[in-house]
Parts: sequence; C-alpha cells; structure tokens
Amino acid sequence: MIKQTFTFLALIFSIFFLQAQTTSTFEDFNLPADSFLNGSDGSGGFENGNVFLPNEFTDTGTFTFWSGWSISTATDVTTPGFTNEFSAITGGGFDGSSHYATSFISENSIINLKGAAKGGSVEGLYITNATYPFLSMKDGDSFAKKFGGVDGNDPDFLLLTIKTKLDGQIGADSVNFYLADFRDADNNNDYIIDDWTFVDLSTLGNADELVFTMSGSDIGQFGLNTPTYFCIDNLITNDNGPSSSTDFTVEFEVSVFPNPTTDFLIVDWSQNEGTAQITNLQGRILETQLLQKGKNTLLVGDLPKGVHFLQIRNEGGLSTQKFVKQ
Amino acid sequence: MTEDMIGLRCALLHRPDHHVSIPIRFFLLSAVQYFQKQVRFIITFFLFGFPLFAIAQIVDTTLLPQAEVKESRLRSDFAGTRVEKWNTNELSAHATLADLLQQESGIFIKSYGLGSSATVATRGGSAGHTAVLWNGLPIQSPMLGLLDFSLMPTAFIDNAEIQYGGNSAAWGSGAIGGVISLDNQVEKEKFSLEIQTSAGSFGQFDLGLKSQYQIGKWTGKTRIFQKQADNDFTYQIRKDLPVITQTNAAFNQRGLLQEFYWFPKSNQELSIRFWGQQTDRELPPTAVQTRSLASQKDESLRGSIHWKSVDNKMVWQVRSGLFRENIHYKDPERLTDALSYFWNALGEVEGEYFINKNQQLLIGLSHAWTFADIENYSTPPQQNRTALFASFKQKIKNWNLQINGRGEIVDGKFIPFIPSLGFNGKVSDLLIIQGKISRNYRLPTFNDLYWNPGGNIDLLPEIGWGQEIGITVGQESFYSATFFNRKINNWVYWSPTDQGFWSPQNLSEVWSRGLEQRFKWQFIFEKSKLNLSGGYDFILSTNQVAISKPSIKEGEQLWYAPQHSAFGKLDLDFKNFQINYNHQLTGPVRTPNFTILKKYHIGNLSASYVFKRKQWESQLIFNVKNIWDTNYSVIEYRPMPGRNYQTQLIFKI
Repeated sequence: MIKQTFTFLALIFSIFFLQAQTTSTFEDFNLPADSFLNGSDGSGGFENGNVFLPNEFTDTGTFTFWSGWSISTATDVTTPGFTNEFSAITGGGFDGSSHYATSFISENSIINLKGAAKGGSVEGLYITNATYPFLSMKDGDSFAKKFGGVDGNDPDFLLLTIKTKLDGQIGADSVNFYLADFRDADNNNDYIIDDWTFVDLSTLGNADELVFTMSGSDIGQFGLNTPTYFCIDNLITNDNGPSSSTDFTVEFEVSVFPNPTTDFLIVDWSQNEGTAQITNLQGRILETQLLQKGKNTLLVGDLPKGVHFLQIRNEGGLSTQKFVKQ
Repeated sequence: MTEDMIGLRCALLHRPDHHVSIPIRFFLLSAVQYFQKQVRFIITFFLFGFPLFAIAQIVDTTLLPQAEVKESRLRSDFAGTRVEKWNTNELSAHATLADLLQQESGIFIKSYGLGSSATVATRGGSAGHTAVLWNGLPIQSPMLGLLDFSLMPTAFIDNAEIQYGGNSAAWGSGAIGGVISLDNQVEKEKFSLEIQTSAGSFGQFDLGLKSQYQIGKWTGKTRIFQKQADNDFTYQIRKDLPVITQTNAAFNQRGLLQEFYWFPKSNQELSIRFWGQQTDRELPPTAVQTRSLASQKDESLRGSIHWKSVDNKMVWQVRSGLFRENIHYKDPERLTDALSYFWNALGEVEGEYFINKNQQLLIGLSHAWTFADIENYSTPPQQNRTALFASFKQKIKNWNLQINGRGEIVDGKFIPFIPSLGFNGKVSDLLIIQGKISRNYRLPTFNDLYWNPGGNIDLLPEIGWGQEIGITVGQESFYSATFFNRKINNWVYWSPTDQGFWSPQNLSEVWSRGLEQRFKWQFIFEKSKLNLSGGYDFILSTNQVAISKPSIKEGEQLWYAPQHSAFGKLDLDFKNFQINYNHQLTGPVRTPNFTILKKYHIGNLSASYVFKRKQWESQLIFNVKNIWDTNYSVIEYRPMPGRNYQTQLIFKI
C-alpha cells in the first residue's frame, strides 16, 4: 500500500514536472508543404512554445533578404545552392513532422526565451544541416570546397557553438555541435549530419537567450566559405524559472548502462525503493517501473528509436538521465 | 570580394588539363567532328562571304595609296611611358589575347582554366585597373569594370600594345596599371585572303578566314572564325592522387569582324566596324567540387565609326561606338538562370595641332552613356560621363616633355582633376631616360554601385598618384629597367555586412611598387636571325590599412599578385624555318583562403615552316604547350592543362 501510494505520488510529481517543459515544434504555423515564412510579413520573428526566433527581413524593391530565422516545411533534399536555402537535409521536421526552423547566421543567431522559460534552463533541441550547406560540403560549389578536399584527407569541419545569455551576460560555458566533422585520421569516421540529432543544452544553466555561432575550416579572408545555415526542431525549454529546476535535480548515485542500447537498461543505484520513468522528448510517459536497491533491468526493446529521458525519483529527490535507443 | 569576384559570382568560371601523346589523332578526330558538326557554319560562310569575294577584284595586289593616313600618337604615346607592341604576325602565334599577354608580357593573367575566364593584373593592380581600348574606345564591361581576355581572338586584332603605368589623363577610368590598346587597320594590298585552321589536344579545332577587298571606293575587310574545344584534359593534383578528367568544360565560339574603309581624300579616312561574337562555354567544377552543370553564353556586338583627317598642321579625329554585351548564366542544378546586359554608347572628338616642329597641342571632348540591367539591380541604372582632356608636348633638342590633363563629370559629379607629366630623352644614341608622374582613377563599377542588395551609391572613385622612371640602354638589342611607385586610395573591397549580405566600401589604400627589367638581344647572320628577349618583374603590392572584413593585415600583399614573375623568349629564323621557345616563371601567390600557390615554370615550343609561291604562301605551325608538363594552377583549385599540342595551317593569297 505504501509502495502504491508512493508510486501514485511519484506519478503526480512527475506529471507536474513534465508539464513544466515546453517543446517548440513549430507545427502551429500550419504551413502547407514546401513553403516557408521568412519574415516578409514584417513580424520580426516567430513565437512558438516559450521561445521567440528573431528574423531580420529586408525588401529592397526587387530583392528580399532575410537573416536570423525562418519557419519551413521545405522538403527538397537534392537541389544544391542558394535557391534551396530553406530546406533541411532530412526533408522535413523531427520525427516525421512537417515544420522546423531554419537559421541563416550572419554574425550570430539568437533564440529568446519567453514566459515561464525565461531565465530557466533549456533541456535541448534537435539540429540538422540545411540542404544548401549539406550539399555544398558534400560536393563543393564554385565558392566553397568539398569537405575532405582533393584527396579526402583535409580535416574539415563545420561547428555550431551554442551559448547562453543571462541578464545581458554571455555564459562561460558552451555546447559544441559538429554539423560536419572530417578531422579524424580515419576517413571512415568523417560525417556530415544528415538526420535530426539531439543536442543537450541542460549543462549551460539558466538563460534568457540562446546564442548560436558558426565556425569552420573552409575559411578565407571574407569569413566562412561554407553556407552558414542550419535547422532546428523540438526545442525543449524548462518552464519553471531559474530556481524551479534545481529543486528537482538532486542527484543520486546511480549508473545507467549500456547507453546507447537496443534491448535493456541496467539501473544500478544505492537508494532504497524508487521509480524509474521513461519519457520521450515530448514528455509522454512510455514506461514506468519500480526500482529496488542494486541492479534493476528495464526492458526498452519496444521503445521507438531515438533519444529518451530516464527519470529516477524517490522521496529524496530526482535524477534525469538521457539515453539513446538504437 | 573584389570586383572581379563579384563578376564571378554572377558569371562563373573554369579550368584544367591533360596530356596527349599523339597530336595527329586529335587533328583527325577533331577534323571529322568539325565537319560533322559545323555544316551550318560553312553554309553561313558561303552565303555571307562568297558574294563579298565575288565583288572583290581577285588577286589584285595593287597597293592602296590611302594607307598613308597616320594615327595621332599624342594620347597613346605619352612621354615617359614604356610600351610593348605586337604586330599581326606576332599576334597570330596565339589563339587569344590572354595567351599572348601571359607568354610575352609582364602582365599577370588570372586564368581560371582552359577556355575559362581570364582577367589581367598589371603592375600589381586589380582586374579593373587596366584600361582596354579597341581603336581608341574603351571596351571593358561597365558592370564588372574589366574584360575577359579569354574571349578576345587575336585574329581580330592587327596591332596590340601595352602602355605601362597610369594614363587616366588621356584614357579616363581604369588606366591605372596600364592601357592595352587593340587596333585594326587596313592592309596595303587591295586584295588579300587568308584562311587558317588549327587542331589540337582536348578536341580543339579552329577555322578562320580573313580577307580584304575593294567594293567601288570602299575597302572591305572581313574576318570570320569558329573555334571549339572539349577541354576534357586530365589533371593530377598530386602524384599520389588519381588522374581526373575535366568535365563540363566545352567551349564553342564564333565571331565576325566586318570593316569598311573609305578614303575620300588622301588625307582622310572613314572607317566603319562591326564586331559580333558569341561564346558558349560550359563552366567546369573546381578540383574540390564533385560536378558542375553550369554554362554561360557571352554575346557581344560592337559597332564603331571613326573619321580621321590629317594635314600638315592639324589632325582631327572623331570616334563613336555603340557596344552591347550579354552574359547569360545558367545552372540547372541550382535552378539559376540569370541574364545581364549593358549598352555603352561613346563619342569623342579630338583635335591635335602641330604648333611648330617642337610643339603639339591636343584637345578632346568625350561623352559616354551607359545602361545596364540584371535581376540584381533595383532599377536598370544609367550613367553619363563627359570628359574634357588636353595634352601638350614640348620638344627640346633630344628631350620630350608632355603634360596631360583631364576633367570629367560623372552623373553631374566632378571627378578630381587628373593631371600627368612625362618626359623622355636621349642622353646618347645608346641611352634613353624616361619618367612620368600621373594621377589616375577608376570609377566604381555598376555592380559596386547598384548591386542589390549591397550596392553602395556613395562609393568614391579609387584614385591615387603614380610615378616611374626608367632607362633603356641600346637600340635593336637593349636592356631596360623601370622603377614604378603607385598609391591608390579608396580601394574598394566587398565584405559581408551585419545583415549578412555583401557590400562594397572604400576600405583600403594599396601601395604598389616594383622594378621591371627587359632585355632583347638580336643576332643576324646571313639568312639566319636569332632573337633572345625576356623580362623580370619584382612587384610589391600591399594593403596599407588593416581591415577586419575582409581580414587583411597592414602591409599584406594582395591576393593573386605575384612578387616575382619572369619570361624569356627565343626566336630562331633560318630561311623559311622558324623555331620559338618561350618560358614563364610565376612566383608564389597568396589566395584569399590563407593559402599559398607555389611558383611554377611553363615552357611553350613552336616550330613553323613557310611555303612561298608566286601567288600564294602557306605556313605550317606546330605547337607544344606546357612542354615540361608542369602541374600548376593560376587560381586555387582550378588546375591547368599539362603538355598539349596544336597544329596550325595558314594559307594566304
């Protein structure tokens, strides 16, 4: 009875916690397929979930130009060049969705946290390459090189760096995400990101803004030759303000392995009874299981592939870990 | 981004190489392909050309008395200017003007590959710092401020010359590093006919015809040519890498130059010229690009009328021209289809007065109207330029002193007064000293001003002073050395803005200075003649202002501006047999990508034999280009061909 009561409370607790996250999927824009919003309506940006994606749009009469962010449902993964600047190389949003956001970085791109997310931590987001830079890095063009160079051995890379800004101050920590990485001596390990990849931003702490900058190896005196576009989707913000998340992040001594995994997870912890809960990135609970002291086995073979959260809690606190189901 | 890079952004370019061991194979293959593919050209030729020959007085070699009308040289032969010249025969040894300048001058040719664009850099200047004149009228693109020399067939030029150093006072915008002057002239014979054909490596095949004839009181001169190449050469970036065959590099060009001359009196000449040319070329991928499907069509129509009157005291000249050029760039893979074009109408009148045997005065007025359009211009821009120029030359014994001045209004705004002062003189029969000081400028191009987004209507002209002094020792055999010094302010660079697009600004000051040395040694023995000539240039051309965008340090050498370049040429004539060898050395150059292109040596060998008969003569020429099979590129990632061959046959009446 006690266990059942605890489980119930834990569920209520976890639901409260999970509701304290908001995922910006950009689906609310309801764009038809193969279309985009590039700020031509003068909106200055796009609000979705608890974030605002700024956009700068210039109309010179015969030519329009934008920087910052656009919202896209473009699906073209084959046309190289500037005319296909809105498409993600995945051909759509994360997990088969249609909407996503594409950024063109001039100096940098920023995302403003709004409402309950402002000043809080950001869980993470999915990132992939836009088609334009992907094909440019893969095949080269008149102004940018094919990554790897003439012999495939050039240690090329395209790096997206994410930092936070809080109260006008840039945070000291950063998260680096390689949109392409050819630096390994073994060319078999060279890659250009071509699927949605989760990037964990929880280590960056509280923020009012996320700041994205791009750097790379194909650089000249005019800056990067590689087109500076990238795409994001399913940005997860914690909505409880600067202090709320810390209330729940009492760390247990717990080890979870293997990660990535295909069939099972071993949860080894020193506490007495507790609850393990597996959720997807949208916060939907997929599995719940009671834990005993010592090694516990969680079967995950039926879960969809991708990144999931494992939340372990008892009366002493909560620990959240991420794992990848392959 | 420099102005020619902007050009490249809307144009695009090419490159690289291959080695062929059996040139005759190419000759035969190309001949078959030619006659299969070019039936239309042949039909056109006979439809157009044959009536002209029917009218002509066949095989009448009477000399034209009118050919005595001489050109004024006060503008083009500015005292203190070092000049290099090539006549028709020397020009015919090269397919394009780019080839000639690369092999026989100190001008650096920025070639993007075989059949691809080629721009010039004279004395460390940019591509827009060399004025190009066709019979005295500037023919650079007002959109790009430059001319693609790979499109200039030498067969359409009778005389070419380079006037080194600034001469904006005489020729206006762009005459900073030098002036390249291309002229046509009537031949002495009443009738002449020349047919030339050549075939070579990489599917290259040319056919050209030139004829001069009489139609009543008019002398007509018709030139027509067709050239094509697959340019499917192979190249190997490094010996450990696979050999790559160039793709999407085919080139097909055709052109017509029609001239009419009328000499109403022995001292007057009216010439009317029409030059139409069309070039289709594929734009190959770079060495770090998987493929390219891009192509470009360049079309130019140039018409001009010149009238000239010469008497003992006065030379009057009136020139007018109407030029149109289209560039149609396509890249189906990138869904790009861009057409750009311009119109340029020019008119000028000048009078040169011979005050006495020691003094000459020239005064001229010119006006130009330019219109251009491309999708990237907000509204199709126009420009009106009016200039008044004058020149005075004083001879004092063996010395010439010349002063030039120019005032110009561009769309109602005055360009600063442009003066120049030059001198030359004989210290002795074997020693000439010359020098000049000149102020020179380049107007912003239409792309600089009106490109959308980014064009900057407030750009100032690039402007600055240049000085030079030189000596020449000897006459037929000689040695010369010229030191020059030049600063150009308001140097225009394109750079990314905070909004992400590019915009040009007057960002830098560039200081160019250097030493040019030339020599020629001539040895004649009975029926043999040996010429040995060459040159070595050491040129520093540095940014004097540190810039963040683009990232340039103070004192940094310009991109693609070699500090060292040298060339040598050996000509041996023995009776009807001639052998030529030329060799070029280009020193290392910096690229905008923080890399250095290594120095390279290129050698070219040519042998020819002339068959002379009473009524006709023919010449057979065999060329081996890049005989040392050098692996090189002028522009990063754009390899050039290795050893390749060409056979040429010329038939003259």
